[in-house]
Amino acid sequence: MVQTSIISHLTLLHGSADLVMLVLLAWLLQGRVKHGWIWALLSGLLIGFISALPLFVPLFAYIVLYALTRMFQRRVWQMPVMAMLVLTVIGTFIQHFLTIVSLQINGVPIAFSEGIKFVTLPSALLNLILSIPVYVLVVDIAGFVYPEEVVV
Amino acid sequence: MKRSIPRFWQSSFVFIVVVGLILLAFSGYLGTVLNTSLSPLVGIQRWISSRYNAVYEFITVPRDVASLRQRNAELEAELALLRTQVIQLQQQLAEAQSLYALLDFAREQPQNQYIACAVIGRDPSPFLHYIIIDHGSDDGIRHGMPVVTESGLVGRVDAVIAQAARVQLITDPAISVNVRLEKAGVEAILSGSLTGDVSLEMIPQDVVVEPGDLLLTSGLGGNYPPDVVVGKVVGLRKRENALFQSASVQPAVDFSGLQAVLVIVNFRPVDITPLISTSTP
Repeated sequence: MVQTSIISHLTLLHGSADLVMLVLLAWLLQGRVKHGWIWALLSGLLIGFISALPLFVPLFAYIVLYALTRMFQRRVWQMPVMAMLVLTVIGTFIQHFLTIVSLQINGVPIAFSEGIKFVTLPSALLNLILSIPVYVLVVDIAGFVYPEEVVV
Repeated sequence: MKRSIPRFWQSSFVFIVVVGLILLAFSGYLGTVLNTSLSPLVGIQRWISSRYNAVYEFITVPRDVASLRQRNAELEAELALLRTQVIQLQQQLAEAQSLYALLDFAREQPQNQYIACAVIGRDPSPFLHYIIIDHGSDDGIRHGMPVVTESGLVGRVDAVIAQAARVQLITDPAISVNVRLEKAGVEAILSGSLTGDVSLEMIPQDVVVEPGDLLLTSGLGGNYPPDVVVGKVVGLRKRENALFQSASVQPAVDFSGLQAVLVIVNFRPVDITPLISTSTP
């Protein structure tokens, strides 16, 4: 709801932030979160249901992001904020690449260069700006949902 | 007891003085005398009054400052409240004006039946130009129904659920609208784009198109009712070796501030896809 009613209005050139992807990434980067793929699946289905994009685009993009998150957790697990920033950029590009390809297959006249210049790069910048506050918020929520066990 | 002055002379003296004063008053000379004699008294009175006021203020001012600060805080709070109310009223006024405009438009088009809907969201993908409205199939909205405002064409219903619907705007890159140039009477195709700019394609080379020419829906294709205002031409692109000329169009509707729309519910779009043969004989 926040994404469709508020975030979609806040545009830079023609790009807008993807709050769902940012929350998903931040949530998947929490070490205590189990069954992250379910959240990726649910987020993809939700966006696929609301958006006019083909269903597989957000679904596939978020599943790929889940896989990337798992990989980053193993390799740069000591710097989750860095992982968040890198994954935000990668996630934006993956999602927009899939979107452009799917729209072109469906006969929509969209040029790659135009899409990258006017939509993807501004969207990546907005996502980067929002990624840190979203990460901090999700860390707090994760701490509330999964309180740390105290060994007595 | 010795009497130095007789009583008669005393009375006469007083009488003469009184009569003299009266004569001076009547003649106008008494004012000068009084002013001259009273001015030191006025000065003394002024000095005493100023000293008294200074002492009074010295004693009472601290209490007044406290009460003034309290009053100032109360007034500031009241001002903030009133400002909030003004903003709320301005928002309500803007909504009311928008709805009145839609109502006027609906009254002017009695042949159409409308459902007024509020815009409650936009497509999450920045590549697509869709809005989400707050009425759906429960209210009689069906796929393909045209959506307008009092200014002109907005788009068409793309997907419907029970209580909401998704509308594809005429700025979407995937949409094509058959339109007619009102002045030239020639049909052309309106296309959206990724950036939201709208352009007019397939205009024959021999047609004279000028900036400001009005565009209306032509009704061809059966997707939109005819004669709905779409926009106006703002620029022309003409190349000598091209088959057609094209033009950039300014839509009649301001899509950035879209709050409410009208869905034409008595218009049934015609699906002509089966009539279009894709195989060559």
